[in-house]
Amino acid sequence: MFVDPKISRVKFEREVTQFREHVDIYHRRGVWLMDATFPNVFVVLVAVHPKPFPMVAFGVVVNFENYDVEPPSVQFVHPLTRAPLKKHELPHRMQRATPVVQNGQFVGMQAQDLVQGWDEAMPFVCLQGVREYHKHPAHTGDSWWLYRKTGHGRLSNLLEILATYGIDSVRAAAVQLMPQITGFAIAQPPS
Amino acid sequence: MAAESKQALVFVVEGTKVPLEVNVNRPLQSVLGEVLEKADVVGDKDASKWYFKYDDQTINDPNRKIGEFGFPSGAVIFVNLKAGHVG
Repeated sequence: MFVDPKISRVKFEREVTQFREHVDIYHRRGVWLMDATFPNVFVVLVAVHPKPFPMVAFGVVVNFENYDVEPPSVQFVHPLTRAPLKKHELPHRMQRATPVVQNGQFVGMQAQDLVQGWDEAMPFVCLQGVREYHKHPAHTGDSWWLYRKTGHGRLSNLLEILATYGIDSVRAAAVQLMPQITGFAIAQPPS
Repeated sequence: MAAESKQALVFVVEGTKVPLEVNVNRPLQSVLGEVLEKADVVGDKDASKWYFKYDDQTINDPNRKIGEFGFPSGAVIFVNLKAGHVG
């Protein structure tokens, strides 16, 4: 930790207080803040649209260490145990539709994964304002300092992104059935 | 000429609350610059990078007049930054 924790704590508390001012709206959407103990905010995201019951999708721990000299870290965790999740343990890849333009012409839309990482590795949200993005070797040219105080990396902004791509569009559980023939069905055993 | 009628609204810019009294005949989009300024947002204020949400719904046509949305007095309108480009 290289930023005085007193400074990061003040900013952390501002972020949490601002979230709590609109907690009813967040709850209705499925964004539940379970714990906020500096430097971590633990949030559980619930998909509210599936019928007949809502489904708990995942949890995240947003870490505000060194905030806001560094952006917050976002780690996906088990919603009950807070154990870190690997990419293949996430319920989906948080896809986002983006336009494809070739030679200046719009040619269609494509789905891009917001969550990146190898299946067995810790996944991360590959967007500006997320510590893991800016620390990634591929993004050293896209400094956090270009985004600080622009709205990126705020708790509200991160939760909006996670809710938009993580729970808002979930409508049901994806089910895969594998029928297996186990024998013959007999109408009535002969006497 | 339409009579000027004001309405109190609360804009929330990435967590920061900005109460504002607005002319209901203005397009919603036209208040964005003022709201971002008051929320102390620095950098790019390009309107195409922001969107409005009310009652959990994205407002798809922010160029409509504020009065046409039928917001109650003191309505909370979220102003959110669109997700950036995926790296």
